[in-house]
Amino acid sequence: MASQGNGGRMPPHDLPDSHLVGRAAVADETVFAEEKEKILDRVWRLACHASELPQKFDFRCFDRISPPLFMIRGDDGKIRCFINVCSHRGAKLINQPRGNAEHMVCFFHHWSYDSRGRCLNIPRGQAYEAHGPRIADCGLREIRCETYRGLVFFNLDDGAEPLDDWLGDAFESLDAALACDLEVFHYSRGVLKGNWKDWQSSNMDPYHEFMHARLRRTNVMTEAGMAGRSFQTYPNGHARFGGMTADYSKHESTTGRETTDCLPGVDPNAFQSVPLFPNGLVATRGTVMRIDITTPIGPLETLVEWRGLCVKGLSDAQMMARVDHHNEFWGPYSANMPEDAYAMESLGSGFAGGGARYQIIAREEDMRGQDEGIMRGFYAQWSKMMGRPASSDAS
Amino acid sequence: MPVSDDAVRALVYRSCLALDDDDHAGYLALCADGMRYQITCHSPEIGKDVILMNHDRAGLVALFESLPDHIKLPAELMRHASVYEIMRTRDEAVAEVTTSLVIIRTDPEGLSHVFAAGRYFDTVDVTGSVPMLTKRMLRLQTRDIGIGTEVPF
Repeated sequence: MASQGNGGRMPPHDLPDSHLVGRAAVADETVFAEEKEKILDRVWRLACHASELPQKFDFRCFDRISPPLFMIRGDDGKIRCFINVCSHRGAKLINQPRGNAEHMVCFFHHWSYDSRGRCLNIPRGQAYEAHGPRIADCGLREIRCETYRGLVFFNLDDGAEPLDDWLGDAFESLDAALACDLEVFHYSRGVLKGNWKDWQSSNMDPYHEFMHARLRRTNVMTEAGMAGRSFQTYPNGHARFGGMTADYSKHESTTGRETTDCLPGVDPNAFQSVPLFPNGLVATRGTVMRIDITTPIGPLETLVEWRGLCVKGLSDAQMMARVDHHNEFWGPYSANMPEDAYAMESLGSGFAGGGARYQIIAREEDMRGQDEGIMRGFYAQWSKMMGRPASSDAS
Repeated sequence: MPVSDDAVRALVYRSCLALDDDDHAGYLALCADGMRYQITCHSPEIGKDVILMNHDRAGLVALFESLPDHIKLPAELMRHASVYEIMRTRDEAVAEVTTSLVIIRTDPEGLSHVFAAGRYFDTVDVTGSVPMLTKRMLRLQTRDIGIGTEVPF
C-alpha cells in the first residue's frame, strides 16, 4: 500500500473488510447498476404511510422509483401497487402525486383501469379481434405491496419472502408508537448530490453528533449518557439506534417537550430510530415520529423524502406544538437536517473527483456510545446481497 | 400623519437587505414585539399545507443567535422582492402587504441560480411613526431546496 508523506497509509492498514467501505460502493456507476439488480429490485422498500391513502380510491405516485409506481386503496380497502404505465403503449398513466380516482383513464387513447388494476375499457376494441390482445390480459402490472403497522412497502420481486419475515423484530422498540392512529403532517423532499447509502449511514452514525450545534448542547454525551445508549443489529441489515437521551433544558428554544403527550411507548427525552435496510428510517423524538425514505437516482444523486407524523385528531394548539418539536431538529429549515444533508453532499464531492477512496467505519464501543456497529451491519447485508465486500476497492 | 405606502414598501425591502447582509439586529429592528414569522408551502404529496418554520420574536432572536454555531452552508443568498399590493384595514391601523420573492443562490464558484420562489404575506402595524412587521408568512412555491438552510428567508 502506498504511504503518504505524513506517515499515513491509504487505506489504514490492518482494518478488517467489515470496517471499511470502498469508493466503488458509494460512487461507481457499474456498482450502482448492480445494486439495482441485486438489492433494490429484490427487497421490501418503504414507500409511504397508510394514512396518506385514507379513503377508497386514494392514490399516491412515486415517480423517481425505477420503474415508476403508484399505490391505490381499492374498492375492498386494500392498498395495491402497480407500475405506472398504460398497458397499451407504455404512456405514464397517472401524472399527479396524489388524488382519488375510482377509474384511471389513460390520456392517450382512453384505455381505462379500475382500482384492482383490471382493464375496464378499450375504445373501439373490436379492431383487436383479429390478433388480440384480449381486454382481460391488459390489466396493469401489479407489484407486491404489504403494510406493517401503517408503513406501506413494495417489492419488485414476486418471489420474495413475506414482509413480516423480512422485518423480523426490527420494530419491536417502536411497535407501540406505530400501532396508534397516526397522520403525516410534514412532507418535504430534496434531491441531494450524494450516494443514497450515505444518507442511510448518517442515520446510523452516532459519531457525527459533534457536527450539530444543537446536539452538542442537548445530547447527553457524558460517560453515563454514552453507556446508556444501545445499538442493535437485526437480520437483513435492519437496526435499532436506541437509548440516546436529550436534555432539552440546555437550549432555550426547546420548550414544552416535557409537558406534551408523547407517542405511546416513547420517553419524552429519548431519541430512537430504526434504520431499515435498504432505504428507510423510522425515528421518534418524544411527541413526533419521522420517516425518511431514500430513492437512488444515480450513484451520486438521491431523492430523500422526509415525513413528520403525530397522533391523529389533535387540537390546533397541540398540532402546533408537534410542528415546532419536529421542525426544531428535522425538516429542511431545522437545526440539524441541513447539516446532515451538507455532510452527505460533502461525501459525494469527496468521492466524485476520485480523491476519497474509502470510508472508515471501525468504531467499537460494545454497541454503545458512538459505536458504528449498525453501519457495519448494514454493509454486511449489502455485501452479502452484492456478492462482494463493500471494502473491495478500498485502496 | 399615516405611514405612507412608500414607507411600507421600504420596510419590506429593508428586511430583505438586512437578511442578505446577515444584519440580524437590523432585521429584528423592523419587527414588532408580537412578531410571528412562518414559512409554509403546500405539499401535493400529502394534500396539506406544511409549516416549515414557525417563530415568534423571541424564537427569531434565539435562531439568529444560534446561527454562528452552525455549519455555514457554502453559498450567498440574495432576496429579490417586488411589492405587489398594499391593502389597509378600514381603521388604517394595519397594512396587509403581498410581495413576490425570489431568492438567488450563488455558489462559491460564482454560479447563480434561483434557489426558491414564493410570496411574503406581511401584516404591518402602521399606527406608529414607522411601520413595523407584526406578521410575516412566507408561502413558498419551491419545495425542493436541496440541502436546506437554517436561515429564514
